[in-house]
Amino acid sequence: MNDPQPQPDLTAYALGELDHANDAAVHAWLREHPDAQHEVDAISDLAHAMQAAAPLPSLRLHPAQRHTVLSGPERVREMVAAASRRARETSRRPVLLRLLVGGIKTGLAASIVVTAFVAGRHYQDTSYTNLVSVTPPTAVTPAPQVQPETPAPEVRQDAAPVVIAKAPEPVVPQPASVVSMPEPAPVVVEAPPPTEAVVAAVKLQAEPKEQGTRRPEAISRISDTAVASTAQTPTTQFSIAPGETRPRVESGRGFASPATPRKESPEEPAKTKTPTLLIHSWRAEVTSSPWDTSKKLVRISLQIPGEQAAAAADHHYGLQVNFHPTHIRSYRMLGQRAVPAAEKDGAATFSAWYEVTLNGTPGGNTSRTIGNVTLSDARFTVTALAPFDGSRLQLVDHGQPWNSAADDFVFESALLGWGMLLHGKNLPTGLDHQSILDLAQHAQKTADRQGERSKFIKLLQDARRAAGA
Amino acid sequence: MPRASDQTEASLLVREAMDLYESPLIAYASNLLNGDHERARDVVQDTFLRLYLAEPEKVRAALKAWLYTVCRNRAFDVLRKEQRLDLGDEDKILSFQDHRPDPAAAADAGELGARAWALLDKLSENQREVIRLKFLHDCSYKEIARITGLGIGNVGFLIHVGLRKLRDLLNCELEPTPPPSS
Repeated sequence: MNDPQPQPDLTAYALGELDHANDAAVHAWLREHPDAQHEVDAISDLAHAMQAAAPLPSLRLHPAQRHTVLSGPERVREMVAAASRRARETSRRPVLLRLLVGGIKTGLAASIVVTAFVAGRHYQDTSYTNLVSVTPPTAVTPAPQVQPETPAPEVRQDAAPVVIAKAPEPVVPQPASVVSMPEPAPVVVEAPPPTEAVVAAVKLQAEPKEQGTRRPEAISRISDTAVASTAQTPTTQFSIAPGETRPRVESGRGFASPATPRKESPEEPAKTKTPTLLIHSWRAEVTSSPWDTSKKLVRISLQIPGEQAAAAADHHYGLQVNFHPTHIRSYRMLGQRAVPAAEKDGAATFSAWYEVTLNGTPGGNTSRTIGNVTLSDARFTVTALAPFDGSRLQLVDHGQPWNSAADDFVFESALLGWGMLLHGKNLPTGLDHQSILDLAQHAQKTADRQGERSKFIKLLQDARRAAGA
Repeated sequence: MPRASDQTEASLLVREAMDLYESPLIAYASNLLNGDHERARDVVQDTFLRLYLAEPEKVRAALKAWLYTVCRNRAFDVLRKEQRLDLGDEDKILSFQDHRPDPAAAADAGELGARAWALLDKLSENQREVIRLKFLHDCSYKEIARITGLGIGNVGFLIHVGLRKLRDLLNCELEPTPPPSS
């Protein structure tokens, strides 16, 4: 094929990466070769599709790591000072001393070899029945030597002549330092809202070893809404209140800014403008239901900064969920969960759970969009990622079974099931103690860094024993 | 000895970097570290700490590229220490004259994007990295070149070949199974 235009240039053109001159050249070339426009369109379509479907990064640093970074200047200064002190000490160490240390090392190594050899000979001479356990002289581990690539091994001049082949500490401190916030979080009992029943508030305490992190109290609410038909009401709504997930102020340890006083000055006119809700990310997951094979579970979750104007103003933000009647016959909300931010600048998480019944047979590997979620008055905190589009979150059913979902999804569905079981109304067909235990144990196999899943499993087992099951 | 104003400036820069790039950097490092989120967090924490040692006025103009470069180097340090660094095979140069129907014409855009990301593991290590930097982290060719140490031409070539291969893979998924060749 006689094609003078390099293909990578077409890709760069489609992606808008060419400078003005090259861009104009390719543009002109395309006018003369309209058949090549197909290639450019195809690249452009794929690029746009990938950008739209790019997985939103949601992982954050652990609270202790954030603390280390934010207290960085002092930490970094200390480490730099320590490193330069060590460097000075090393450079001041006289050559004679180094030779002396080397000599001592060699002597020590030689004495070890000789001792081992003599011991071996003696053992061989006196005990012919147990030769296997004797290390022959040639196999004696050589004397410890400093690796040539390890710079400036540290030798204490005033101590016994033992060489410690220790790499110098890095300039930057090792991660995962522990913050000193040792007290576990107190139990927080949330007052139930009038239309919802608060049935599960599982206390998630940090492991003693993780003293720097404090697991906040999650607020789980089981919904009482009835099954709705998409033919009649394809759209539903749930709201989130960022104010309820602000970092909590502990007595004597306040790391949250004080909440905005409400109605302190009645003469002051109420502000009508709703602050924009900042969100780190939002996502929707659809899996098979662990309790009823004819249904699907949908989780819609948002991660938001715990401290923001929207939280201080105590506003509620509505998320509109639209289920496509062509794919979904009916739906109902199972519950909501809110995990407050563990610390100032931490992230809070909201999730809402729906159970949906598909039109036709669930399963299969074909992906289909079964609905979408819209949210107005919001924007992403990470502006580099993408501009926020409140109509962009699609509910896509990839035919994923629940047991291949993320471990936090499975564990949260166990909590949800436990809440529904305690609530006792409109229970899914297969929901029982054992199914919840199975879910929690499945999630525990994958990850249980905080130990919360083990505790939940123990709680379930205790409850089961108490019930005589 | 750094001046107090420099320290304040550095602190502000670190705060800004955390606000903008914390999660994207963890995602990037996590991909380099074969999905090890904890190591990725450590690497990103280290990256932010190193930002304190940089001169703010020199870094600020290209903060994003600086962060990704340091993060990448730290991730590779970790892999080298653990001897897990796998540079992958040489790229197979694909034929460019392919006029099969494009998958974009046959699939919904949302599904197409999701499938393309799912198929990314089929690409070579360096193709995956530049494609992630381009489409997930929204880096320009120039920024990718700076981060990876490749030339801009190489970056363009890798992205082109990577996209070409993804399109082929998507086409293979959409087409019926071909008869076995003799």
